[in-house]
Amino acid sequence: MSEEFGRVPVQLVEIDQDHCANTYGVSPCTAGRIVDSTAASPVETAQAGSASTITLHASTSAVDDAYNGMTVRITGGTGSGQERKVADYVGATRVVTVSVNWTTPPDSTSTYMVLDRPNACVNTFAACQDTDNFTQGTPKTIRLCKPLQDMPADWLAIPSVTGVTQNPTRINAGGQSGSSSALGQRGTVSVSILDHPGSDLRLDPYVEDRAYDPLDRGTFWTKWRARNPYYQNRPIRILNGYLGEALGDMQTYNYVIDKFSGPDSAGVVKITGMDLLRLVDDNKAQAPALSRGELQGDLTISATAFNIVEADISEYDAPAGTLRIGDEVITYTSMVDVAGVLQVTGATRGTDGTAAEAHDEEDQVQRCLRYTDEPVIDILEDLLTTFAGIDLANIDSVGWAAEGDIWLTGYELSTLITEPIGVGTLVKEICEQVLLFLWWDEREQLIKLQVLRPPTETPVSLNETAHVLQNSQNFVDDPTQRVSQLYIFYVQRDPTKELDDENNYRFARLRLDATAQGVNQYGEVKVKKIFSRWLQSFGQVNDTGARMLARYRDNPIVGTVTVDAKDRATWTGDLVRLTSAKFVDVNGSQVARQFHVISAKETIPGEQIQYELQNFDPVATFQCRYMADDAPDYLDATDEELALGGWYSDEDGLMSDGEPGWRYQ
Amino acid sequence: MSVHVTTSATVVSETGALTLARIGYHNLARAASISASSAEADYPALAARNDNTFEFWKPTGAAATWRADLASAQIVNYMGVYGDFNGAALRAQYSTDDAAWSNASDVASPTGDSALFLFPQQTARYWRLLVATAVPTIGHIRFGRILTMERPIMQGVNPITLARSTVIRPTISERGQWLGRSIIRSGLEASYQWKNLSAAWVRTTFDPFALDAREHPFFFAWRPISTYLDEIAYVWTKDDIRPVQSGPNSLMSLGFDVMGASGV
Repeated sequence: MSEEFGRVPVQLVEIDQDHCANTYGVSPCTAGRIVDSTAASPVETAQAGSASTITLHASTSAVDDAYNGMTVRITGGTGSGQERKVADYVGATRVVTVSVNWTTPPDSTSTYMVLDRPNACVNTFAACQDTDNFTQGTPKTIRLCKPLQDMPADWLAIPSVTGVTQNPTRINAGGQSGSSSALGQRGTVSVSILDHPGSDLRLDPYVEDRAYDPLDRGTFWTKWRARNPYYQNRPIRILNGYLGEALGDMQTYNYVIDKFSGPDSAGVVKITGMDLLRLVDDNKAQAPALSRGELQGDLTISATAFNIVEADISEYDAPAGTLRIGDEVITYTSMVDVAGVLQVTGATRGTDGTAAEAHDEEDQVQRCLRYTDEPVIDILEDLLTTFAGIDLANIDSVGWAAEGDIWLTGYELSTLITEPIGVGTLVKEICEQVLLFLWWDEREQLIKLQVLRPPTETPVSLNETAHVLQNSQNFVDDPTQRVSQLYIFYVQRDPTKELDDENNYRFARLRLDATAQGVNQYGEVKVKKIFSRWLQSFGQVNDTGARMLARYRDNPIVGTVTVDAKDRATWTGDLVRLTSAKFVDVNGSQVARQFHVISAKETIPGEQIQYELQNFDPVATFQCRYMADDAPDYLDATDEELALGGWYSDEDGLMSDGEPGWRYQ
Repeated sequence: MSVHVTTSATVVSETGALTLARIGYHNLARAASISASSAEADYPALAARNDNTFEFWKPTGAAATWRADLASAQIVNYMGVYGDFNGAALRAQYSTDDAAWSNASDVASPTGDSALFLFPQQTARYWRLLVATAVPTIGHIRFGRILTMERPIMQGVNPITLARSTVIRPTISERGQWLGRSIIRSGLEASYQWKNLSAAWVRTTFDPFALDAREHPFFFAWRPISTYLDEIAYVWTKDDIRPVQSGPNSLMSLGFDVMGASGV
């Protein structure tokens, strides 16, 4: 569709709002039930009925028209389950005439309720009149679009969108770029909408019972805001596609609502959304969470048992775990809840490099978070799901596992975190020290992970003839990312001390690229220091150092190119191979350069895509790993096995098919 | 888009020559009680009473009715319908007792997205749109008294159905190759002017429309004779309508720019 001549790009916005699964006044909802009889019960027995009437209980209101506009619901007996609106009520006879005849006329065996539907809720929590029974049902989706000729009726969309600005996720590979955090830049969307009168059709389940015309009351968005004040973190989606395309086939970008403003004096409403990784922000998620507990009494320097009050046992690890009181770390073997008091026994005082000391009653007792030789993938998943509340379904677990199995062996991490630290900070540290990056793929609704490693994917080829739009290329060198000396401090002595205290580490390692610093190359030193609570071995530190210097010894090239929408299958995280007049060798011949797509944006939805690129030229011509004993011979290997494995060449350095062999460096 | 005239001689004698523009602004359905024989979920009957063009009534089957109870008998001589007709056969009907129904218009299967039915006036409390043979998706329905302009539009007309406003945007590669082309269409726009209208007519007959047009769209057929039966649209003004005294003989001129509801 994107390659068709005369394509008509369209853009839709979908917002999911909460919607109660119950019906107003119908069990379990108890709201709106008129209790108007001496029995003081909302359910009464009818005296009689006919095709168009029902005679209410004798003790109901004697006032004419008392129930006009309300709803009579047959709850039992003959005609059970039917509802009709009251067209007329005669007080003297208690006879209700319904607006539409009964399918099964009620009789004296029928029980009924009168429901005040004209004053019903709108099935959102803010409007609920029986919050104890509010039940989240399937969210109701509001669909909006930009005004469009030939808008399909089955979109059920309101053509009130005046603008959509999508700022894409931006990867910060290995956390080196100073323009964003190690988690990169959050993807955001800003939607501008023109307010208008709202009919409430499809939004108010009881619109036909109202005594007023919704078009005469408020506007669409003033009413929506009043009904949905708890809009934050609700889904908002952008659909970019073409007229004639099914909605399900359009490219969908997923966000959660962050802000709502308006309508302003011009009647414009603005809704902004962010990608799911906003939940990882330090002000939203901490690990470990702050513990409320405090000492029930003074704690002597040698005591091995004590009590904690003012907290729930779920805030701590039980039966065994680690605590911090003041500057002391304490491990324990048992914690039980006895009548609300947490009894701790089997305590070992002054562990993990700290010293035992006395503590006072009411001193705070903080749960510590300990990881011991845990795979990197498991730690990241735990931080995101347990502490940041991200649904596991939004993590690309299969992709993470595949990446970890191949490229993160040997990176089992250990640390003790003794106070609440932002999850975003902890994840950034891991990304920087293990050299990987996470990003939110707004198309697939997954948090993806990739290690900074030699590419195994086949890059997408882009050239200036068939792909790159005119006047759209712009590349610069980014010397801020270059590193020539790397200091890594690792194995903390005392986890309660400051992370960047050099004296608090047992080991420090320096790795440098003397050639890059030398007079024939960059002629300057670029130092980076890492204070690692995670890395535990020389092997890990050596690997991190080697990979970081290999990747960042030269100034990265960053830039942008714009392509037509026909090429929009390429997205953030992908590898591209660009042939452009901008890149030549020393003799002026064009060379194809390899780039990571660190950001992708539909600058004109459905028409143009802008990629932000960072070069990714592997140092090695080939890369390989030791293979299993049952690995195939060279000629029998698949393409994937050839990309990851290695075989010995002959004495001429050639493989059996004449290709150059692997060279060990 | 199409205009359907029933018993044209009577229509002409009651409302004027078919060379005169017709404006369907008078809308008795706006305050009426509405019901339909059927309606799909998300396509309620009330949606067709609204002026907007993004909410629709859609019956569940090909034989259906959309009924308006005007609360008292009213004179009606036109029906306007906007939507995706899908080849359905439409007809205006009326009843004095909500039981026995009579045909106000001939049956017609309109083309395009706007249909205007002109018929001899009837006085009745209940009016309905009868749908048959196919299931339409209807964005708007109205009944009322048609406004006939006092004088014809003579020259310089930009037929609304041909008055497209289109933006085309191509994409070209760095080396000059054609990569794609997008069409951005903003709808229909046209302008209409009248001269030598009697001031008394403008003040008493036309001005109620000018007031209504500030808030509501309307159906417009500039010359509903056989040659131009397709040139009708559901439109709205872009600005206030300001008649101008144009001569010493109590004559006025006026005009307005409209934008048209684009196809469903």
